[in-house]
Order: sequence, then structure tokens, then C-alpha cells
Amino acid sequence: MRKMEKPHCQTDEFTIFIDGCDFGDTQSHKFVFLQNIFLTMDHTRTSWNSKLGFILAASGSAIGLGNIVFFSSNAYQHGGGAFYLPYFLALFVLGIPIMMLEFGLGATTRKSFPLALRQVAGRRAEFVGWWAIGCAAFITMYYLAILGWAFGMMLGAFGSLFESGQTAPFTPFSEPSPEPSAMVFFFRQLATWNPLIFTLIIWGLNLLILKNGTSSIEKAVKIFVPLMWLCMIGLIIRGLSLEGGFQGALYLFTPDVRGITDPGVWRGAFSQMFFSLSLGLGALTTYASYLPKKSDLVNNAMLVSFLNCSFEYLAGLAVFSLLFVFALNPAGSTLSLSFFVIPQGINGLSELPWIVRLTGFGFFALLVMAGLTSSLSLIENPASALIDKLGISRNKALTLIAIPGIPGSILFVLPFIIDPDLNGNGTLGLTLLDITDHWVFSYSLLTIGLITALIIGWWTGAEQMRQALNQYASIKLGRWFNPFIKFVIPAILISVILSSLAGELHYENGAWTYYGSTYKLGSYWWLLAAVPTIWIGSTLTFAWVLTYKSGRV
Amino acid sequence: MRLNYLVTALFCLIPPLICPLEARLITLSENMPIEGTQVIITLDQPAEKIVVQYRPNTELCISDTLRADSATTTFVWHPARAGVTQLSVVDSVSGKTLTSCSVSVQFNGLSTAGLTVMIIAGLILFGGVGLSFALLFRQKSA
Repeated sequence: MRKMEKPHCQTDEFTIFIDGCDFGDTQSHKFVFLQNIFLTMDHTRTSWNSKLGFILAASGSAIGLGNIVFFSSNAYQHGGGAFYLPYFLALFVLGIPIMMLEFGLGATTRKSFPLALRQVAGRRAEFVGWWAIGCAAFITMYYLAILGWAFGMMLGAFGSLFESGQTAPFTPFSEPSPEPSAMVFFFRQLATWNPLIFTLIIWGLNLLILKNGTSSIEKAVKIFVPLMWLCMIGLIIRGLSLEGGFQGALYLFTPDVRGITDPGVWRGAFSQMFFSLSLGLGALTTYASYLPKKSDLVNNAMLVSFLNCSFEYLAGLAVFSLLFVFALNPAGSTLSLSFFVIPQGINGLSELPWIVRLTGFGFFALLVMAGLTSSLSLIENPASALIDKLGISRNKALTLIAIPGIPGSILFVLPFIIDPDLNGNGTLGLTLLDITDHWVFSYSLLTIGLITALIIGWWTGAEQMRQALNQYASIKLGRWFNPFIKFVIPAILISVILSSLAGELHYENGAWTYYGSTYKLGSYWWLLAAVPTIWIGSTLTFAWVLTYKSGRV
Repeated sequence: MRLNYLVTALFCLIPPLICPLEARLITLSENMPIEGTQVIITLDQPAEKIVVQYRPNTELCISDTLRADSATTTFVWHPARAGVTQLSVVDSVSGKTLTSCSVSVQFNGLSTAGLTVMIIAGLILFGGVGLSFALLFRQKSA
């Protein structure tokens, strides 16, 4: 480790770091961290025009498809009110502290995630950052494919989505449906090339908005985020005003004591909080890197977290009122709730077809808007990282992302039927999506969150980060923050990851079962092994090339 | 932005949706039964048992069975728990589900526990948003 001289700097940002720093030889790596931050801080980086713009963009990034439907599905699966105690605990011990870390990384270094990590902990940390970007790219590809389907459902609200007599080229749907069925509509759409066009439209919208950077992101979220809230409030008013709607709300919140003692409920609540806030993607670090220097990072993290969870609260009220009024069974999956069950409820809202169609359109428009504000951050994240690393223009960075991203998304909407009996996922595209989502989403984000907490807690020092966060904070963080970062968060994340891994292979009814073992994939059986192998191989290679073989940093 | 477990158990929805094609019907004396109060279940074809699943497809699912000595079209049911509940007519020989339907069981009176959690959660979340916005705008004006 190089021995550094004590710096003589006058800026407010640096002074605060010096105050909390130990300049002894044993702590010299921390000193390097601080000096690097000062010396390499990018003072020319673009920034948000207003704090509100950042709040809307960051909350738009956090609030996505999963907030509307997965939260309700998760809460339902884990016993409604029993879910709330661990959920709230997770908000304070995991959600807000990790968001503060991600904001702190971005705002103090003014770099995107990989380079921010490099600045605080060296090249090996940068490698982790690029791996996170690679994993986020996989998520982006299928996230936009799902948005393409949602777009198709939105258009279908004024087409045949709410009409009976539908068929789809799968055995269970060969006879015309006696009633309107969103499920039959979805699978008919899935087996056509239409979602490819819709996915291209979604990609086009994202690239168009991102072309001009933060200013156009700000303009877009200032329209989409309030609209999203308005749509949700409209859905709540309709749901709660139906007979039995309020009972549905109580059903969501009434505790079941058996649930509190179930470890699976705690695991579900902690995972939900992590995923819901978009942690572990690096996107929030990138957004925070555009913040003005004197930003209150503590308050920003609290505001975005509370906004996100408030939106989930409202989404829960809306969804549960519909579930209860129409006695709908969510069947445990995100897609089934948003794409099949809620439209089923909407179909029963009124005798007047135009009201049903308009509400259906509004619901799917809400999904598209929520997804779009999240996808903006998903694409901005690698774009910003490539600009920082390679020194290229924004247009070039977006092109570099779109070249593999668009074909990647197309893979997930391939309409080839590989399972006509629908024992698994039906089409090749949905099968690929299911397998990719299972591995990438379940493990990469938690692992990245864990490594980030370990790097900041044990390498750069939690105390240094605490002081950086406190610099312009209205509510100062106490010393309790340090053990949270060093011990509590890693312990929680390790236990969630390990318990998820343990669930991958289990003995049930006299046989070993593993993920995908019940699927009937025929000659495509190899996808179960190929997808995780490709994910691991390609993201590690990508991270290695970007860290060690390229760049001007 | 949560999307995992995306299509796991997706097709659990198929059986209830295609049940009407089998032309078997389950009728209840109350559209929205109340927890603990008696409900008469009427079937269009005789059966020996009905399986009741409270909170189906959840980690806290509880099953109960309504049995008759011989095949009958009428069952008496006292819902034990509030919430979405699935009723399934099961063939007593093969164990195959012949038809099923979902029904929402209402709380008997106001759920004070549920109301308390709802209010406290709302206060914490929206109070947090209000406080943070107040701090944000105070900084802006300062």
C-alpha cells in the first residue's frame, strides 16, 4: 500500500472525510479511498435540474411492475397481516440503509456503480460492479419483453381481451372460452409475433427518452410518475367502493399468528423489500451520481423508500379489494396476478363494456408506465457506466446497449410452441424468460447487495460512509449505522441467499426435485442447464473485459 | 420491481377456469359467507365430500373436508376462517377434483387487528413521506 501525505484541501466535501479519517499506516487504504474520491471526482458531470426531479426518477426506478402485483402476491402468500411485521422491519434494517449506501456511493464519487466501487475499493470491486451491470442487462432484456406483453394487453383491452369465445394454440384452450379470459388472450398473444413489435416499441421509447440524458428522464418521470399514482388511486377508489372491498383491505392487513413464526414469511418479506427498492442493480448509485453536491442523501433515501412502500401499500389495497370482491385466487405468481387475475376482476366491475375496457386499459397503462420508469433506470445504469469507463458519447453507449439488448429481448418473446399441453411455459420465449428470471433475479441482486455492504462496511469503512451521508443531512445517522452495515445486513442477506439455495434441491414424496424438474421441455431439456451457464459465463467475461481489458480510467 | 417466481405455479389457475366446461355447479346460500356462520352448499350432482381450502396457494393454507355418509347434493359448512377460500368437489374413489370454485369469507364483525395494522402502516409510510418532503422543501427554501 502506498503511503500518502496528508492532503491539504479546502472543499467541504473533503473536509468532512478528513474529519472522520484515521491517517495511520494501518488505515492507509481508507486514506487512499478518500484521496481518490477527491482527485477523481468528476466536476463536469451532468446533474438533475431539481431535487424533485431526482426523487421522481429514483422513486420511478424503484416503483415497477413488482410493486403493483408482486407485493400483493407476496403478502397474500405469506398470510396478509403476518407479512407486515417483518416487512416493516425489513424497510428499516435493510431497505433504507442499503439505499443510503447506494446513494452515498454515487453522490460522493459522482460515478456510475462499477467505477464508484473501483474508486472506493480498487479493481476487484470494479469487477463486481461490472458483473452487476451484466446481470442487470439480462434483467433489462426480459423486463422489456414483459413490458411488451403488458403493452399488448393494454391494446387488447379495446380488442378481444374482455370478449368470450377465444381460443389459443394450446391444448387447454382449443375450445372457445365460454367467458372472457385474459389467460387465453395472453397465450394467444404469446404464440404470435405481435409481442416482438410491442417490445421494439418499448425499446424505442426507452432509447428516445434516454437519448438526452437526465433532462429528458426528468421530463418523462414528471409525466409518468404522477399519472401512475393517479391510476392507482382511481383503482383503489373503485375497488374499495365495491361491496366487500373494505373486507379485502382488512384481509390484507389482519395478522395470522402462524405466519409470524414461519421463517418462510420472514424470508419473503426481506426479499420483497430488497427487490422492491431496486437495490443491488447499481441503478440508484447511477442516479445519485447526478445529484447536486450539497444533497441530503439520508432524507433522499428515506423519501424514495417511503414513497416506494406507500405505493405498495396503495397497490395492496387496490389489488386485495378486487381479489376479495371477486373471490380471486392469485395462485402464487407475479404474472398470473397481473395478467390474468386482475383482468378477471376488472371484467366483473361493470355491466357496461366500455367501463370494463377503459378500466382494463387503465390498469395495463399503469403497468406499462410503472415498468417504463423502472426500465429507464435499468438502461441508464449501463449507459452511464460505459460513458464513464470508455469516454464515449451517450448515443454510442446507448447503441452499444441496444445491439445485444434488443436481440436479447426478442429471444424472450419467441412464439415457437414447445409445450402445447402447457405443462410448463408453452412457448420457447416464456420458457427462456422463466429460467433466466429464476437464476438471475433470485441470486445476483442479493449477492451484489451483500458484496456492496461488505466492501463499504469492512474495506472502506462504515464510519467514513456514515460521515459522508451526514454531511448535508437534516437527520444525522447515529453510530448504530456502522454495525448495521458491517454485521446485520450481511447476516440477513447471507441467510436469505443460503435458504434460497437450500430450496433449489429438496427431497419430496420420495424423490429429489429441483427447479424445472416438472417442466415438459422435450428436446429443449438442456435449456435448464444452458441458461444459468450462459448467464454466469457471459456476465463474468463481460466484467473481466470491462475491468481489465478496456477503458481510459 | 419484483419479477421472480414469474411463472411458477402459473397453471394452478387452469383447473378452476376450465371447470365450468364440465357443467358441474356449486351454489352457496350466501354469496359472501361470514366467518363462523352457517352456509348451505348445494351441488347439481351428488358427491360424498367437499374439500375446503382456506387461503389456497399460500404458505398458511389450511385444508378441511366436509363429508357425507352417502352421496348428496347438500352440505352444511361453517367457515372457520375469513379470506379467499376454495371449495372443491372431489371424487371419493379416484381422488380427482371434479369441480371447484372460490369464495370470499367475510370477517365476523370488524377486524380490529386488521384495522390497527392498516392504520399504523399507513401512518408510518405516509407520515414518512410527509416528513421527508417537508425536509426536502425546507432545504430548497433555505
